[in-house]
Amino acid sequence: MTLDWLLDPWSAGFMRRALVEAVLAGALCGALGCFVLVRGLAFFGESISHTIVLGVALAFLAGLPVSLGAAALAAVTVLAVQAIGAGGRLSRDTAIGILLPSLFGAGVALIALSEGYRSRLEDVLFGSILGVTDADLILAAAVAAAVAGALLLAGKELALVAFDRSTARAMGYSVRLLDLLLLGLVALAAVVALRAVGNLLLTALLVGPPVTARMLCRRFWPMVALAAALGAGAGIAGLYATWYFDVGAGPAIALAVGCVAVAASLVAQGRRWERRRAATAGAGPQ
Amino acid sequence: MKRAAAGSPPAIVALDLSVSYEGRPALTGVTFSVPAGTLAGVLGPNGAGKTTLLRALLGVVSHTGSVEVNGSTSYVPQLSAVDRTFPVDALGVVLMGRYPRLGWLRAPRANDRRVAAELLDQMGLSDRARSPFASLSGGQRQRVLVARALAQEGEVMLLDEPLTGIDAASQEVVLQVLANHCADGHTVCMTTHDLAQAARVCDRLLILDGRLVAEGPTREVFRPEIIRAAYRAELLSLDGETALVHHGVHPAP
Amino acid sequence: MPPPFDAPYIERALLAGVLLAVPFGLLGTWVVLRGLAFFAHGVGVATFPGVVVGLGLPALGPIAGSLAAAAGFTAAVSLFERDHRLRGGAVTGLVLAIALALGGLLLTSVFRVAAPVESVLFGSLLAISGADVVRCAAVALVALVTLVLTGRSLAASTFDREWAGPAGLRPGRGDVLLLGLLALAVVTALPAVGSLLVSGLLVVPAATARLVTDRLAPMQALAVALCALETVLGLALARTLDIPPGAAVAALAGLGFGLVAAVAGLIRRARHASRIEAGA
Repeated sequence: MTLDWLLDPWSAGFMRRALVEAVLAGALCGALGCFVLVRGLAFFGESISHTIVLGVALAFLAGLPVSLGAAALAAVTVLAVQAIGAGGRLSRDTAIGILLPSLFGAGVALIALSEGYRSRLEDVLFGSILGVTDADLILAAAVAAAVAGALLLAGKELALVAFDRSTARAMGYSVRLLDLLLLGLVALAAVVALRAVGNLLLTALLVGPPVTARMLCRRFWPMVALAAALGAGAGIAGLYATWYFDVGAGPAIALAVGCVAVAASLVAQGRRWERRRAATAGAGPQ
Repeated sequence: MKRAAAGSPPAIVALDLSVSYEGRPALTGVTFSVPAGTLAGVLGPNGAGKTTLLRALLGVVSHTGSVEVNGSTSYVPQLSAVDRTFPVDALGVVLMGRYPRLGWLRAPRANDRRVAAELLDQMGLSDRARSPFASLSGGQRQRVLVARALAQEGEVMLLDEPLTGIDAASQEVVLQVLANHCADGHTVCMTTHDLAQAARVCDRLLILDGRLVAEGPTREVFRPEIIRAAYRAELLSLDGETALVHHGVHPAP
Repeated sequence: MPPPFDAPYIERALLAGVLLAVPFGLLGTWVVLRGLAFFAHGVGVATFPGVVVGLGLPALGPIAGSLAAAAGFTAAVSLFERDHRLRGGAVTGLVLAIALALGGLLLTSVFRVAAPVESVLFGSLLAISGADVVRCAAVALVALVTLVLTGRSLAASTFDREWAGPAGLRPGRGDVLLLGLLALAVVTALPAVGSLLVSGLLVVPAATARLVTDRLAPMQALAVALCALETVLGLALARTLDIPPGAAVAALAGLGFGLVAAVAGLIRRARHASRIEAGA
């Protein structure tokens, strides 16, 4: 009976495809998100997930594959952030803050000019995982494999750059190239996750599992593994919620991520207060 | 030259001062006093608690024991703490030193501008008054920050590594201005890790290593055995140039 | 009034936009100089569930709802951002994502509000009431007075926080003031530009102004002027093309930044070249 409850959702083909997409996107974003977290790139991830909407809109107007447009805009964002930051007057944070609303606004304006605007906009914003096609899954699997390969090959170099840039440079690594690699991987993951949770909720997948894992792990690689597992788990939990409670899949997945992260951070905060109380109690009697 | 008026209270008194960060002790049981009108140098290896001592004197870290600073303080933090991209010119930075006394309602007046301009002139930067702070060299920036502290017109000036990483000409200007400031009866307390410089210009030295190693007039404190104890290194003097020679793996004494 | 501006609701929208340019231009300067762009974006996005709850529960109303959401976001980020393991905006990102998910869920599954999603997210010219205009004027006045009075203290604390604290300028108070005003201004602008693109008005005009000047007061004046100009043009564009006003304003602001950046780059290159010639 319990087993029925667990297995029932996956009897439908669209749910099985959604499951594969959610697990792939969740694990991908969770693992990559750890690098995003330790490099302090959360805003960048949020920005990319919005700016690619312009790419989606342009590709749709030009009749090209949507993923291609999204990838192109992701590349434009990466390069533009570096170009604006290079001027020296504006911080990287501001550069990202300029591109996010500008390009996203242009994207929304373009979509609003086209036919069937409302449903298309909602798909882009909140994802349409229940409408995932086999072609989407092939793309997701290919990207997941590429990202996993890149992390296996360059993961420790990326971690080294995050930990100590100047040492990495002194050791002869091209720090700029590694930066671009990481940003490129994030952009790829964003293109895949756009389908799963939509551009508004992508940051949840990119930031939520790593934040949770960071609370629970002291070492980096276990953190990456846990974050990937949490991302995939959140995808599955969100799909169950969609099946049984008739809520949107994107918001459900994002909320699942959020609940776990909030629980973990409350536990961590409680522990810190406990420690501080213990410290002041110890210092008191002097 | 110095007029540390006999009988006047010391400018800084610390009694059994201890500071710890999240349970880790940074300074333990430090007791010293600095007479008014002196230029005091705080020496010690990295992590000895030099900056912590200044922060305790400023009252921005919680501590045990007592700290007393007679008169208002002005402060020059490490150069690296400053946002170099902020849109402000050199004169504007010095003028910031007048803001605390202006409060929210009053705007800087002609007198404040005159004080700021004179201070920039003392620092040899009157021609750079309208240059953006970002366009100045490291030494020029440090001179501007010292001028800002002077504009506060406090009795006791605390400086954190004011000489580190700046050119020799700027070092000379800063030291000269600080010496004049002391001669006017003000008290200056600066951290530094340049032993030779400190020995040359400071009236008094405090040597820290998590605790107080030695304290007193420079000629009494600046002795090889004391330096060895603080830095676990040998003081080497060649033709007036002083250098530290670190021991290799010598057994502890 | 001439064509794009010939309806009463458009006049209200324009008035609201011009009034809002004051707090947005001034606050935007501090957002840019203090690196608060992510926070500014986050606080806008976080109002989304507040608006939805406010629309769903008429007793609460969208304004109280969005104010509460903005306050909750600010409190949550300030509390958890202190954890040094979660630097670089991870907390901001997480909290805003949760807020969006919550908003989406509430909108589609719980309240089934009549207002279309995109007008909450991207604003609507029709949504601006006379009361909104009055609120914009009030917020403009409050922001103008407080930011002019505290401007020096904010400048000194932004330039060198290590110094400002011991000097008695109370940088902590400035932080609270700034974040509070930011939340207030964002909530006031929601009917016009929506929650997702509010940061376009906060960050982009001020960043554009920063490209042109190295002095604070001209930067602030220019930011306000650009903000007003881009809002007016954006609203006209939104009306002419029938697109959401938030998107039009943000896209125009981006275009403005791009143009100014290109011109500034050309000028710098020309000056550099002439200096080399003069040196040779």
